[in-house]
Amino acid sequence: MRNLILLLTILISAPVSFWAQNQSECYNTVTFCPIGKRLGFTRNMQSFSGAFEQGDTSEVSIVVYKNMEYRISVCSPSHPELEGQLQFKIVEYVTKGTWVEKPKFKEEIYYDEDGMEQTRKVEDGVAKKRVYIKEPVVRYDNTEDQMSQDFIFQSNQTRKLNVKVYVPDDGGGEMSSGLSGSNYACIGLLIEHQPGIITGFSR
Amino acid sequence: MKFNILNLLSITLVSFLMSCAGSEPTDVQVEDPAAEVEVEVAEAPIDDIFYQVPSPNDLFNVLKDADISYNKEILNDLSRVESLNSKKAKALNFGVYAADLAYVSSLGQIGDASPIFETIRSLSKELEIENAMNDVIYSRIQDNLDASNPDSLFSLSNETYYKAYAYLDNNDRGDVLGMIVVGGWVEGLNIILNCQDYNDSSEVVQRIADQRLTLENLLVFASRIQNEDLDNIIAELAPVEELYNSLVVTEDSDFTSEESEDGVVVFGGGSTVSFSEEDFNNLKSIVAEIRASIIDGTL
Repeated sequence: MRNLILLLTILISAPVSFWAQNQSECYNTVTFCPIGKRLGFTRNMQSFSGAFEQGDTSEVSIVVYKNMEYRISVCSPSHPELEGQLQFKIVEYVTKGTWVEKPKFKEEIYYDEDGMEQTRKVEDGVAKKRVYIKEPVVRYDNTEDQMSQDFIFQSNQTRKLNVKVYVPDDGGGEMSSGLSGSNYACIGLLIEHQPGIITGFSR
Repeated sequence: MKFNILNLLSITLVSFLMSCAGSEPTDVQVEDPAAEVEVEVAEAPIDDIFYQVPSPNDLFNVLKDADISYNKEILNDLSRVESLNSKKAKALNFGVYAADLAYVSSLGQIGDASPIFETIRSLSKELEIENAMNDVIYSRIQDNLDASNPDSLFSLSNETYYKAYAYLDNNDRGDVLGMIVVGGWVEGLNIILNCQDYNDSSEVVQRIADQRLTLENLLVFASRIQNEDLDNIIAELAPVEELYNSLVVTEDSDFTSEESEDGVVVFGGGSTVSFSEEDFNNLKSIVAEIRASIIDGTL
């Protein structure tokens, strides 16, 4: 019994402590990422350093303000072989409405074999129900931009965006979610900002 | 006893696995033309996403282009720092003074920046985070104060906040970090709520409405830090969250992505939020109350 308890304790705590140790080792990775060549960018506090699992996707949620120019870049000083191979997508969760039809019921009175009054539920048409679901919509994908490791943009609205970073493993692979494997790489997700041009098209 | 311990471990394991599985759908206020129809909202589960919160410096960038006059009266009184006794009060007020420094430097008020900076330095020692901001940073800030260079000072105030954030994050002091971020967020919001009167076409007012998005990230970020004091602080933000959740969000136009002449991609379209004068005044009142309890150390 004691061994079982010990085993359960290890099972519960080991992945957490291993992950925490890796996170700590990757402290301040973004400070080693190349900064924007364009003058005027300032490091944004939403930048993120962390131990990202190779072969898996990690996701960071940020808020970008209207009419600010942002530069998002990824780097891995600890794994230089990954330079140019890191994939990232900028995703926005959009609320979409859809109609769902559900049967409606009403109570009906009937008389049983003994002539006693009873009630039962019977179908009474269909009720339409509006359901809103937040779905991820890709706004930028660096695999469609020659694997560029940085992206400069601004927005005409303040938006909440999620940056999904995929760190390839040795065998390569597709962007996915969920945990698997145990190889971590220190990744810096560097976010920089500067005041943007309000018109956006005539600089 | 063994049975109880095993039960406890099993419950912990199940709870851990359930927490990994995601969260329940949450309510989101969305404008619906067919109002009589029942509305149910499902949302992507909050799982292992890392939630980041913009700094007060990001917030105050909007002031640079707005016709805003500097108002020293909305800053926290520096003498109040003497009466702060608990770690919680000091951490919250570190965030408050960091936001004040960002506001002052965003409007180029070099003269007022120096004493705020000294107060932050003093609080950083009491919170044992002075290592995060080494003498080089202090020296650079002092140089910029001496040279009256507001743009560099604004950038350095951002750096100060960032250094404290990164240091606490790396040293497993999430409780202090969470309190600093909450204090900075509340003070930043209080400042821009008091910058000007309501005007529905104002960029500053729009920025206030936009804080519904940063609040979402702030609440998830802070709620993941295991600390009872922080839980209680977050609970005080419930009226703010309630107000923001009551705002009507409208999908205005389809998303667009176009490239400007110099290669910057511009995202267009999307949703807007309706933010009335009544909402503005209600929010101002709620935030002022929370902010008052932070600066007098009673929150």
